[in-house]
Amino acid sequence: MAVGFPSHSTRSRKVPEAPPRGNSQARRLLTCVNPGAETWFDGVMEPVVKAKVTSNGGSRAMPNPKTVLHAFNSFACYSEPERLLLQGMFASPTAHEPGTELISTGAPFDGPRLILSGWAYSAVNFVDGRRQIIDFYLPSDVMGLSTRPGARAPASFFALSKLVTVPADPLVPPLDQRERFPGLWKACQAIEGRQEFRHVQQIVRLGRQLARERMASLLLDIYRRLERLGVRGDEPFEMPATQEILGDALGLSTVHINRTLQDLRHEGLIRISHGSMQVLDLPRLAALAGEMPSERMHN
Amino acid sequence: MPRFFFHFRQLSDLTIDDCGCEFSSAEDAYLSAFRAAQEMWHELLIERQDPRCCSFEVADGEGNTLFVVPFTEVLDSCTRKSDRNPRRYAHLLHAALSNHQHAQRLRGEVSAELNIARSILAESIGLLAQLSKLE
Repeated sequence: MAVGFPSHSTRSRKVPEAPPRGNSQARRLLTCVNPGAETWFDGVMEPVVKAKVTSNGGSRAMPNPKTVLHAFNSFACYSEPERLLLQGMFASPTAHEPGTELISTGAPFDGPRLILSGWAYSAVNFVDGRRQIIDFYLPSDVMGLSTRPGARAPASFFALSKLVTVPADPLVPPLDQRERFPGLWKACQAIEGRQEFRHVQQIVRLGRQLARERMASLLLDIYRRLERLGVRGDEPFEMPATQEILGDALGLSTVHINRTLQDLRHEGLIRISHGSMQVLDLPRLAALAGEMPSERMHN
Repeated sequence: MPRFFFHFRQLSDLTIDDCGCEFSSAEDAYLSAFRAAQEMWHELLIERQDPRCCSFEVADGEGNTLFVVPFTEVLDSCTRKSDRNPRRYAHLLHAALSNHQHAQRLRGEVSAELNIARSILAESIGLLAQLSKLE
């Protein structure tokens, strides 16, 4: 029987097959980074997005492991064994400090990792110190995933902020097991498809868009992805990408990024404050980004 | 790291940067402002605006203007670059060699004239000596 993961609309249901409570290291890692993780271990349904009140009085959306798992429901329906495999992924989380290299360029894609909290990015580094950021990886994204046998990393992967990941090997069933795990295989292909689509978006940004359009497109992409994790337009979300990081992603100098962000801010499209961002006018931001209906499908 | 504020001037309009960017030094801040000016040139042209009327007025955290980066500096840097054209170097080298040869020729002529003057002077001194004996 194909069973989906509990969605936030069924809050009264208890989460089945939660990771064992005795795994203290896993509990500590998940809960120190994300208070919402505690409720996952306790099997109590909580709001999909926890709002963490920051020192400056703002609030930021904090996805928790259950929310991350919930995001997988949009990919496929899962059988009971598949569901157990997915839940088992959360048993051994690893914390990474900002700046840690997670996968080196040319390394085999033999150990995909699912992000529970924090941000990461993939980048190509030039000999002269320049850098082109290819893609950002947010909670519920999987790094180092490829359905192609023998695939290697075309870019290096780094932690952008404090990161907690878990091994996501169950998402890539061996070739001879794919018929046994059709849901996981479908999810794997969907994740890979989304990555490819983001890379196409990045090509379009860098190749054809002006600075304001590039920025709007990137921020919209991030917003749409966080929206799947429960971020709403009326609440700020964590934005660990600095102006320098955004510059390396959009091929612009730091001062130009600063100027472009201020443009969007003065036009009332976004609000930025102390490492958090809020989308104020989604329709106008989408129009500036040149978002097509097909992009909504992929997001 | 110190924070620098990049106020954007376009003719008489000044857009205040109340956010700023962190750079390790004023030199890094200048280089980033210059790169931004380079990037913004073509965007301003697309929007039918004259980049030559634009500049960044860079200030420190206390509001003191440290330096101004006019967008025309992007063009000035191109002029200086063309000055470094090897063909132009060859022309300059040829001119320098020609000047050197001319200077050597003049030096020879001056030296010859000096020798003539010295011999006349020596002759004059001899004549004066003879005159003083006669007196």
